[in-house]
Amino acid sequence: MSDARDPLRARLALATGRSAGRLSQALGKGSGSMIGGRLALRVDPQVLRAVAGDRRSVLVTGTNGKSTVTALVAAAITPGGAVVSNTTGANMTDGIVTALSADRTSALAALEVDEVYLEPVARGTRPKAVVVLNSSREYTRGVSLKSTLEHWRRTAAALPDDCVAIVNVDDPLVSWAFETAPRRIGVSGGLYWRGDALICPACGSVQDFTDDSWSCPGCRRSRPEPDWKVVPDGDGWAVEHAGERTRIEVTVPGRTGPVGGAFALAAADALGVDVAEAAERVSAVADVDGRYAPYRLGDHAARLLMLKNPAGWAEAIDVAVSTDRPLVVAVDPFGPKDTATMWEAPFQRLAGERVAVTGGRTADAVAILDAAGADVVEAPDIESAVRAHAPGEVMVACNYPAFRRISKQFRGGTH
Amino acid sequence: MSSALTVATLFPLATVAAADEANASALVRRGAARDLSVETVTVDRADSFVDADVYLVGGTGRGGVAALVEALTSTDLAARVSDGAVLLAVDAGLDAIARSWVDPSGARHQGLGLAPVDIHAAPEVTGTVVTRPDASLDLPALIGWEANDLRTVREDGVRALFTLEVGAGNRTDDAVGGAAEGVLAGSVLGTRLHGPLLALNPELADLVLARATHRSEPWPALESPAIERARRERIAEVRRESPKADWRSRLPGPVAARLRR
Repeated sequence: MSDARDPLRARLALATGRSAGRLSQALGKGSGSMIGGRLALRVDPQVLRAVAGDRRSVLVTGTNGKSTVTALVAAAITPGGAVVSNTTGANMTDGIVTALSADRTSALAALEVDEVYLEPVARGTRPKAVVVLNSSREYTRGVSLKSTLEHWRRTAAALPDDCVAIVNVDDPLVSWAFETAPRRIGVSGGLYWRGDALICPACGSVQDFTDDSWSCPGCRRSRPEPDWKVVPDGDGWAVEHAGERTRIEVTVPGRTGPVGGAFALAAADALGVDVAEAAERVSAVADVDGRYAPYRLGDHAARLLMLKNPAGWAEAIDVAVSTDRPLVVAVDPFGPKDTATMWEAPFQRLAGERVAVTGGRTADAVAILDAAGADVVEAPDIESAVRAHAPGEVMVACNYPAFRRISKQFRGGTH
Repeated sequence: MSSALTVATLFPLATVAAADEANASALVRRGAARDLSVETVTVDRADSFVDADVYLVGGTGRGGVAALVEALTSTDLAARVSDGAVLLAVDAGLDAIARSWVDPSGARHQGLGLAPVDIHAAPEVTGTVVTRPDASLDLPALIGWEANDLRTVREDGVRALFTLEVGAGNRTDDAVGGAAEGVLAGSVLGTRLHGPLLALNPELADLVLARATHRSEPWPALESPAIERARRERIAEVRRESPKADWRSRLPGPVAARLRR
């Protein structure tokens, strides 16, 4: 949508983008969620600023968990007004332009941002809050972790004075990259993958890690005290902040759910939304893109997790171990290096445990799990893989194509 | 355990990750099966450099090569390698240890000169590669990945690490029966093949361990059926998708080499 207040060039850019998006849809080339934004940006690089307007935005970035936390943030801030969000996961500048130009009226925005696009998106949207979840190496993009962190540090230093950086203080890399931010709030967001954070990004010393903290013997940096903390609360979880304890119910398994909830509450608080009200909205999120709701299979319940890098696999392994749930690994073909990164994940934590394997890349997964000492069972399909375990809840860790296939299958039939 | 080895991974954050770090744990596993106790260390700053028996340096991404050269120059790597420590340099790591390399703008820079190769620009090639078995190194057909826009020219008389059944390799057109890939010079192994190379190809891990322990006789046979099956499936898939490479591979080597031109 164009707006009469837009500069002429932005209006032209948006009109171009709109027709291209429609054309792309009509030709069956996709949802049109990127091409429109891309063309609009080519006509006017400032178009993001025009479509963002003066709405109050929360940006969500990091290597893992962006989509989930963006959905939780979008829910948490709804008491503050209507929210626009790039729910399709198109998280680069062009996808965000498309999402914002499709809804010019909502006063609030919850935007998932690819970590490499944080700077242009922050410049264009002038956010009120930036949520930074974690940082580990990305295997598909061709950008080193070092350059991503330097990019973040530059971006953080240039954030508007009224913008709050809401950062995971358990991640030393995130903590360092955002220490230049004008305002910073800490969330204890956990760190499942220390492999990339062993070395202090500031001085190069080997960091000292304890179970829940870190410090650098070289430059004396240490984990800032978190303002928001997830704590066990009876059989569930609560978030502690400023002496208050707020209970949250999230369907996302393991600590990932409540941690995402804590980020969402911190973002809501930064926008002036009542925390208790935000917690109710967060708890009402039943599912994110079919990712977390359990699927029933007779006496079993299957929870799907979608993973794309060693940090993601490490988190899935942690969820399985910490919640004492058995694991199914489902991997399908997805290009030549589809299972390569799994070799780096800490599957040795499952040594001696039964793990069922299914999917088109079964041979790779069996080799990886076998090398880690797991008790591997092969299954011809997802149902038998789940049933290879005792009745009850089973975690199904999938790569991207297996996740698409299995969630579609579950939604279509047995749900 | 009869002896202990140290494996050091050098400056992994300088380059783009390509699952190369699984190589260190592959050496630990294969070492354990060979009655060698293998300890791993990650070095990410020059003054934490350690004396090791095996050095791993690599990852993809030409953006990191200059930083890698600078970091490696201020370590004792060259001295350790001339003392016989094994160096496995992968992709960006191979650029860094070459005599000279080119950055994405085409400018030429000096490398560490630990491998007698010069790197030149070439069209981009990506894909899964299959190597030919090599009795001289006790290697079966291996699987790996390449993704680069570089030509790796060896000094005269220096051997390549692999000959490829499928894949572009060094792009020097000098090998018989397939493309030459990488370089093997003394205790230096250089290759463009990135990813969990040693994890998927335990025989290559054996080669590294043998060089590191100065072992000359072949290792006793050691089956790893799960890995062999994964590799067999992957190789079959590559051959299915590269029919041309497949029929060439059935021809005698010199004929195949002529046809390649």
